[in-house]
Amino acid sequence: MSLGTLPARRPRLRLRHALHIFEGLAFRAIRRWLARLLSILVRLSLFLGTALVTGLGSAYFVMDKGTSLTVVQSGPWALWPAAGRPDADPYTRAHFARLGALPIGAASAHYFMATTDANGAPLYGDCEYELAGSGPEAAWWSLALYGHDGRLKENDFDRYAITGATALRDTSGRITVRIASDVRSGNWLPSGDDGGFRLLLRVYQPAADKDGLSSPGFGTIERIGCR
Amino acid sequence: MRRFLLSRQSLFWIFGGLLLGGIVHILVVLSTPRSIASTASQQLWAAVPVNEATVLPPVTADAQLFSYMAPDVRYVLCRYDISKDPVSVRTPLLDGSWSISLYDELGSNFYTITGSDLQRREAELILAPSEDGVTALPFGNDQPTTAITVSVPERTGLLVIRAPESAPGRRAEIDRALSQVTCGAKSRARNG
Repeated sequence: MSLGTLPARRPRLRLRHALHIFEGLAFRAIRRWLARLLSILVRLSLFLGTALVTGLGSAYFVMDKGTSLTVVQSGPWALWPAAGRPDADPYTRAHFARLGALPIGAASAHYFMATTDANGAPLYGDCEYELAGSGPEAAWWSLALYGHDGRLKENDFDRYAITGATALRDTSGRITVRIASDVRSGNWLPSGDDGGFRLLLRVYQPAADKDGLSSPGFGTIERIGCR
Repeated sequence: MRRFLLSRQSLFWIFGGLLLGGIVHILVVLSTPRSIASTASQQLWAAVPVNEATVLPPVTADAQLFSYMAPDVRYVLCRYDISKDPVSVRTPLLDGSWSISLYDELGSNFYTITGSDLQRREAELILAPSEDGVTALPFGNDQPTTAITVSVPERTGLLVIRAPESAPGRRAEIDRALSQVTCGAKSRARNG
């Protein structure tokens, strides 16, 4: 290396050094900017996630299951006392709109719906269940079995419901209903295919108490066994 | 990460999310009846003619016009429109468990009367706009004393007559009774 070449290289070195410093600063700035952006994105997703999960989740839950303010639970049977009333609360309105049903006002009819057995397990067509009780006190009642889409479950026997007029009672006036896919003697409701189902106990002109509530007249839904 | 999530700023964003969640909850619950009911009523209403009684066939797994129909109840539907004239509905009432219900476009049941409320073998309902009131109806004194005038809040809606099979073997009798149900504009109903 000759001495004469040194001055010519100095500006390049300075430039490189400056570039190096600038790169460092820029990298640090970009890193800081990216970290900030990431932190904003994480907080924004926290914000939106919390809003969607709590908002949609809680709305779905109260429309589907209800709360103690909107539903009267009697064992596995859920009664929405404000069903069909023009002054019904928004949750009851939303619940029945989702069901797609046209309920009669609670002054004239009560609808008890069960989706689980005595142990809280969902009702399935490949299991056998038993309901027992005196039945509801009313001008007329009917117990029918539906799929989760609100349609009657198809069966080979065209047997879809048991009513107060058709139910067989024992000598003490007790009614025992069997729900099974295979033929059973007595009050038998075919459960159709092996999919899930729900029971709807429709009570017209119920004998209501002073609060306007009535009893389904059937206690728990016992699971006898599954295939 | 934990420190980040528990920082004051993050907690502030989560709290904001909870507030927005509350707003989402209210909006979803309030909008559900209108959004879903309009779709369901559109399907239901398309199947039923206006101001005409339609006796539905017995409900089976293959024959259901709307969800949760009762398999042991016979239904008569009338999609009423009182924009021009009041609508008259006449029906026999074989027993106390029969009912006549009126629904608005969102499926809300704003009126129901049952056979046991009326204690009669037949009923006539006259559906009129609420602002008209009973005295403003155009059909004067020839209105039968048994007719019940119902002031309905909207010009259009759905009338549902439910006839439960209250005893085995009554289906033929119920079918005959349901074939006598009429639903139509008051002037048309008077002429036959």
